[in-house]
Amino acid sequence: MRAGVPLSLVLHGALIAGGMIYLPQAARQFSAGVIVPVDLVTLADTTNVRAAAPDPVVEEIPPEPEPAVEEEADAVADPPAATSPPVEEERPVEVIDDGAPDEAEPEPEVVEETPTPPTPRERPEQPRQQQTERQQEQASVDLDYLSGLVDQARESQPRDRGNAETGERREGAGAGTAMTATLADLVISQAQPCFRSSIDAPNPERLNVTVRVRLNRDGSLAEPPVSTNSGRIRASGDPFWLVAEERALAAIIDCSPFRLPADQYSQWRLIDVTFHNDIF
Amino acid sequence: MSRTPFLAFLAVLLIALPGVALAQQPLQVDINRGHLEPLPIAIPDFLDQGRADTHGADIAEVVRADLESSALFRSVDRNAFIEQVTDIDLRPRFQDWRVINADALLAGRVTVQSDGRLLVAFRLWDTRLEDQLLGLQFVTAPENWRRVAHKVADAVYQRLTGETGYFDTRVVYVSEGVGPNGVPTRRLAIMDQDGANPSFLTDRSYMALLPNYSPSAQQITYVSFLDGQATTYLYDLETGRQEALFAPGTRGLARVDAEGQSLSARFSPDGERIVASIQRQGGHDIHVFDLRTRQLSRLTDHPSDDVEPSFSPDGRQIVFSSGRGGGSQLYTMNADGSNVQRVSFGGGRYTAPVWSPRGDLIAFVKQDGAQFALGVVRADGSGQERILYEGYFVDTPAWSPNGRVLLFTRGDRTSQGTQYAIWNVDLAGFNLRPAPIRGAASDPAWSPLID
Repeated sequence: MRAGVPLSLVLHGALIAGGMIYLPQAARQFSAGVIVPVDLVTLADTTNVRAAAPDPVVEEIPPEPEPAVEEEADAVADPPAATSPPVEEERPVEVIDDGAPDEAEPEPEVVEETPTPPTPRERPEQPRQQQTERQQEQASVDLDYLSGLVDQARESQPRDRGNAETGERREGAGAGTAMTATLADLVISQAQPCFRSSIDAPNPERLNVTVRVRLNRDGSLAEPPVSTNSGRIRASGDPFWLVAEERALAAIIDCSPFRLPADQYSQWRLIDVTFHNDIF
Repeated sequence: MSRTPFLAFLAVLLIALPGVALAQQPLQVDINRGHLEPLPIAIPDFLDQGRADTHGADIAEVVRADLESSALFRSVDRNAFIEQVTDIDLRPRFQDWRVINADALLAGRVTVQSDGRLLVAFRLWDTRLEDQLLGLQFVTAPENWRRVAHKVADAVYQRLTGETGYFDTRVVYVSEGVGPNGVPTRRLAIMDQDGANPSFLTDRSYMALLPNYSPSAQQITYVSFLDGQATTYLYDLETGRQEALFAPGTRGLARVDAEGQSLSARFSPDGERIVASIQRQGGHDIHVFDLRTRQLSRLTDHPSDDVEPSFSPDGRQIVFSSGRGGGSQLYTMNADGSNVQRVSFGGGRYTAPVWSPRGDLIAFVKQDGAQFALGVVRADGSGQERILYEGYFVDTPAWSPNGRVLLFTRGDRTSQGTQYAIWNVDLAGFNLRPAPIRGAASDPAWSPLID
């Protein structure tokens, strides 16, 4: 009995120590094993589907109603531009200009900002929204066709079937948290190549921008991305931050549509992407 | 028992809550890295309206060359353009420009006004955000089309990078040649930043060295051997007049010793003072000369030589090189000479410090053995120094007015001896290329932005 207690202590201690050494490694192996295949599966599986989906979108833009809207916007845009010359004639700069033909004398002067056509900014939103609605309609109409494509792809490529199985197994095992990690990785791998960094600006680490992205089920943008810290950026009056914001928004637009697993749509319907400009 | 339903309810709640939270919480994604590729910009020839000689194509060409020279932009091949811009006031078909990977579009128009002058208008569009970023117009005499082009390039650069441009600037430098008797000559020359409109400021009869710009871009200081001895002169670029600043005897604005050399004078950022190293009683010390009161005052008084002073952009501090700590190292001090701090700590000799117009960095030349390097270090001396270029010989760094690019004198060993040329490099150590100057040249001085 007396020898039993220390022995038990030693054995338990050994078990715990062993666990401490082995388990983290096992966990690492496991998580590494989790992330890699998902990446491949979802890409391979879905690209065929998405490849079919974007096409109708592109074709959709030409239809007559849209250019008509565009031209309307242009027509509205025109007058302000036409009104600009009169304003510009009161520039006080001209007097200076005429005076000195000298080289060192400053000749060209900023006269004034050509007024931005006021309407276009609001206008394009409308067509865009219509467009996305139509996209969704189209997507729902074409579902049979799309799944047909998937079947075709599966039939023609036996290798895919193997991958798909791995995917299903993953799904079953998928705890929410592990999933979001891999989803985030998918977004990063797709958005990062489009992001022009601002690390060449002075003190770039302050230039963080968070962009809220709302996606359709097919991975396309449901609405234009907006930065959630836009108010602070504008208030700062920092041109570098403003540019960083535009670069972040452009990255999202540039790299859309995103290829993400459709069965987890609820998890990536809404994404907050934070773009950092830290020097490592 | 009423406890069971309650517990069941609690269990359901516990299970369901995270699910609800997951469904509503946006997925958090952090992107920590981006690329630094040049931004592809499409710049069609500016539309000519009115007569034929409106320089629409020329202006677009200069804008393209300016932007590309920064290595931050890439001009999209014009043969790829799908949409032909016919009216810059219409919204472009963004899809047509995105297809050819143009992230930005610059559409411009040149109109001849009734008084014969040019009205240059342009709009800058982001093809991804589908928005106008900038719309401006300039008026100028037709012969100044080149400066307008530089101003357009500056405006585009500033809007797309966040920092001010540097294209509407000029560079003064020393053109090195050989005189009639095989005597080397050094003449001051001036050109536009892109190499256009070069002309000489001084003649071959005397040597001229080390020019520096005033903040107004109207004057330079330089070291002249007009009197047979190194003397700092003030040269007015508008009138061509020049006068000795510090000279022995009574000729200079401030009197120094008979054998006193005065070197490397630089303006303060407000243009009202000049800081220089002046030799008095044997040693070189930093002096400040007030241009209004004509008062010369000494700032340092150390037995070893203190030379090559340069003001910080806020005018409160001065960086200089000194042998006081052994070798030659960089030191900063307050503008009144107090609070001397060492900022360079590496091996080798540190010389030619120049404070960046941004204020955060100091450029320097470092000599380690037979190797020269151009580098930058934080103005407070913290952190690591960053080497931008290493070579056979490096001297006289000069900042672009926005503090992103450096010009410097580079010497390369050839069979005819050392060949000097002015080179360009940016803060990241990229975009290393020769300045567009014919023949041997050295000692660049970059003007501030010209108003």
